Amino acid sequence: MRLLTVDDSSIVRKIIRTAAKTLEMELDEAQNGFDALEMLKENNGEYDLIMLDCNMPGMNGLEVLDAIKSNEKYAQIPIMMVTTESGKDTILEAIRMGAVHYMIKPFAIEELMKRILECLGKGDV
Amino acid sequence: MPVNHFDSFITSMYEVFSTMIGIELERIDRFEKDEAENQIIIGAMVLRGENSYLITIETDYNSAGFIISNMTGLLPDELSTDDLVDGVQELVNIVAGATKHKLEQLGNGFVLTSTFAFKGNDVGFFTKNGINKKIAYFKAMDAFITLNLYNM
Repeated sequence: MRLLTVDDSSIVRKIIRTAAKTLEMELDEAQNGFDALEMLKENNGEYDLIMLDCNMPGMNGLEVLDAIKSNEKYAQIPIMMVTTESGKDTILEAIRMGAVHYMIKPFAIEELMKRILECLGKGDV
Repeated sequence: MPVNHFDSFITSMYEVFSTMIGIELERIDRFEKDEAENQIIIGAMVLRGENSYLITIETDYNSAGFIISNMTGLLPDELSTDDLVDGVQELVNIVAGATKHKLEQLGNGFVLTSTFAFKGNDVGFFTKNGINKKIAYFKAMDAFITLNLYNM
């Protein structure tokens, strides 16, 4: 399994890296939306799950989500939002735009791993 | 500053440390200056609303190493100073986000700014007289953390 995390915080990317390592999955990391779209292009969209922050400089998470879901080559990749943004409107908008899960920080790393597996259709840890 | 607002920030501190870092915070009256190092990292963020707040989380490098190591599952030696600064900023971000969510349930809307940080020897945060400020001191094993809340 190959994952992509898009987050401007190096610490959040490290937390997700620890989770991916524990789950024995490959992880690519992008620190903003522009880099994420470039990585999708370079890797021909071969990701099983994308984890996306909401509040990022440049393109915000919803704009990245829209760009991915608008491209038919990538539209089928499941996307999980991982963010501190808890506004109901943002959550509903992300789900409406095609996010399969919306995870609000704080969370335990075990909870993150469980959600990753669920998004991949692999059930519980 | 409404008491329940400050309490919400305190509750968020306990929750964030317990869930994301796996350590239980203990609130203490204060700690002596020499209990913590002089090299300090301060993470800060503003919540803009009817009552606007500046929240800062202040900790020394050793404490930050302990906290961020537990947060990421990495050894302290694997973390750079930039990681510690980024980690303290992320802590502020999560505590502020969790508190925003709590206060929104009470009918108070907020917009969060980006986080920012300061680091160095003996750095501090100073305000003009008249700014309503509350402080809470915490200890978690050998780590010392200070939460400052300014009502702007």
